[in-house]
Amino acid sequence: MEERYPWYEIVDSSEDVLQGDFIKECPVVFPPLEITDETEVRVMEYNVIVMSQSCDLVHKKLDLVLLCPIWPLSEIEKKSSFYQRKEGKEALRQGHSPGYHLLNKCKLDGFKTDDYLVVDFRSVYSVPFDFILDLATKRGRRLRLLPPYREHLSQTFARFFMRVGLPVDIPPFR
Amino acid sequence: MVQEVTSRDVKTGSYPICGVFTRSSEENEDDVSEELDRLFSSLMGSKLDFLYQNLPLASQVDTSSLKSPRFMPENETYLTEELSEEEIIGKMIEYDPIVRMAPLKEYTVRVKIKSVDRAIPRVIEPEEI
Repeated sequence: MEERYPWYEIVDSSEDVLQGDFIKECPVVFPPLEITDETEVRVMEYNVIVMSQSCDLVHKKLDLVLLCPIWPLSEIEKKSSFYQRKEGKEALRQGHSPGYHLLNKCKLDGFKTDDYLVVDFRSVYSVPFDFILDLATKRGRRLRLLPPYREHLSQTFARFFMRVGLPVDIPPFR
Repeated sequence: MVQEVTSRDVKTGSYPICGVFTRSSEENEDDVSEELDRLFSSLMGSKLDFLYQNLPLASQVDTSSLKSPRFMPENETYLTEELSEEEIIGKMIEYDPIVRMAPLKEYTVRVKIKSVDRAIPRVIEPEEI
């Protein structure tokens, strides 16, 4: 079953950037509080996955490309005792942690991950389209999340974004 | 003369046949399987339920009561935890801790601002109207 429906493929750097593409060490520039003629800006690098819709990317209907950081599950575990526990990981796996999305391990040569990957929906960055095209080319061959896992990621992101917190909720049934 | 006996007429001391009769039984049609089903469910409901009430939750068999087998949960906490799977899921939904991750690398760069322009919208028109 897993062979018929692989999670990932490796694509050449010259291929179009699509939703679900992994970009390694993508710099994100954080503007300072005040912009003067000469100023210092913070740059943070993340391994990211492209969240913008593939059709928008292919037809170049975007100026900015949406990205989310990805982390090995072990890194998340180091920071959170909840996710160290089985119930925390199950919450991730079953999609009960709306801010995160769990991706499978990758077994492809050159892109093997010993760990599951976690997409962080709370940290969404956008970088110029041309910038990501150039960076994708510079980084060489890259990993790509395949359907239907790609659509699943996109749907989970949409569900996270469209959450509504009610001021007065219906009390739980006891 | 042969008198027709319907299920309504059947009375026993040990197991009451309860429930509303369906149209078919009221019309005295022979629906043996329906009656058997009803009888079986009645038996199960009144007599045998106690044997199986904890079956899905059982973790240990109390061997001291082999004459009258009863399946006992280990303790009340165990029973509660096993019964409330939805509650556990509910807790999971409510519990959504935020993990703040540091970037792979962080540095500062000095930049010279060339210009600050007022942004203009980039309009994408729908393809088919």
